[in-house]
Amino acid sequence: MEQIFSNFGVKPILLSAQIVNFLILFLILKKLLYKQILKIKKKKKKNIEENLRNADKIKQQLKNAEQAYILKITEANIKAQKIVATASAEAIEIIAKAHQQAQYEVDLMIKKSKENLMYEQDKAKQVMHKEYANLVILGIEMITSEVLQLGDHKKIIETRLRELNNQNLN
Amino acid sequence: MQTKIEIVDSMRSRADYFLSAPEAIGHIGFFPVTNTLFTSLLITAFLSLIAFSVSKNLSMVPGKSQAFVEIFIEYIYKLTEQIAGSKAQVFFPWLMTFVLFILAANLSGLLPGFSSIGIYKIAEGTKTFVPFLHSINADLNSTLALAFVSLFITHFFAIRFLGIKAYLQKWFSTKMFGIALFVGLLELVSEFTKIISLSFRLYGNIQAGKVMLKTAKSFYPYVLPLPFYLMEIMVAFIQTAVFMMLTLVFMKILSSKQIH
Repeated sequence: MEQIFSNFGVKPILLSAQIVNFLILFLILKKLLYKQILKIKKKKKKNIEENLRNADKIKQQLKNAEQAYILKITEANIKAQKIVATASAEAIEIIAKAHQQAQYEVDLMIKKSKENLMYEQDKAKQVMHKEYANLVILGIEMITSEVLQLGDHKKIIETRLRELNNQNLN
Repeated sequence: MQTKIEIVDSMRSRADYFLSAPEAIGHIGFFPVTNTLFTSLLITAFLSLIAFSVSKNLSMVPGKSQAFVEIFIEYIYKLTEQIAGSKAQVFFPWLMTFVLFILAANLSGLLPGFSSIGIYKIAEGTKTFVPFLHSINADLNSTLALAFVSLFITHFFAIRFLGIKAYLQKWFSTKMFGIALFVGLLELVSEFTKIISLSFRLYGNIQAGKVMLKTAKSFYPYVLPLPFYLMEIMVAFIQTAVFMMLTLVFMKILSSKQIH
């Protein structure tokens, strides 16, 4: 065995030196490389997990916001429909009232016009009667001026006026 | 009889040519600094430098080099996690160091200048070429060292996770008689064969690759070695993965409670 190892150049001192060299390398790499790299990896993993959790949270918030938005929109639609319905009803009522008011005003104007017309008609009739009476008197005066005395004239005129008035009243 | 001795001598000289043992390029006191040990130190320095430069410039948004290192480390970590589960955090640093060291060692052996730049030494009247840099895993000292570390930490973790009683019960039990006792002893022996299996597999593959390249170069040094180089790159990765996976599986098996 010793001969075999000797042929291969195996010496305890060289073997020990190689072991020590490897252990030194192990300690250096462990301290400088593995610990640092694994620490960074762990940190990155933690960050990724945190970001994923945040993304999930944001997704949930977005979902909630969308639901709230849909709810608000639905509520707003219902309110808008109610407002439109109320406005339509009010508009119909206002139109109806305006119609009524217009009708009333038209009726009132027609009535007033009729009254004015009647008044003007009466007035015209009175003027016409007066004129007619004057014409009759004038005619009679012309015919009877020579036969009748002043007193007779007055009597006749008054009689005729009364008759005319009576006629008018009838 | 003489012919037989001549054949054996001839084979030995051929073996010496191919199975070159690590050679001392200098001495620090009584301590011989071999070319493979020197290369190991260089690889350690190189990997430490990379680790230092990466850790110095670490950021949450990685650059190209950091991204590459992160991907590589994460890949090995996930692989460890798939097999070892919750124990991955403990096993990982050792496995990653095996991967980095063996891969760097295997690939560096294919670089120009390795086994080709050196000095001539005259020993025992013969002039021998001693390269400054030598493929680390073509030295049994180095692969044995890796195997020893692998076995030691495997058993260390087994004791840590199981406790000393459960650990010992893997081989010895008061209920063991006859064949069970024999199986227990076999299991114990198999633990030592792991050292030979791990070290000689890596050593054999790298050494064989080196020999193959040397042979190809001796036939025609310009184009012929190229496919072998490509194959050696593949072997470098495969042997790294094999060493790492075997260590991981040994760790996992030994750290788990045995069900009889």
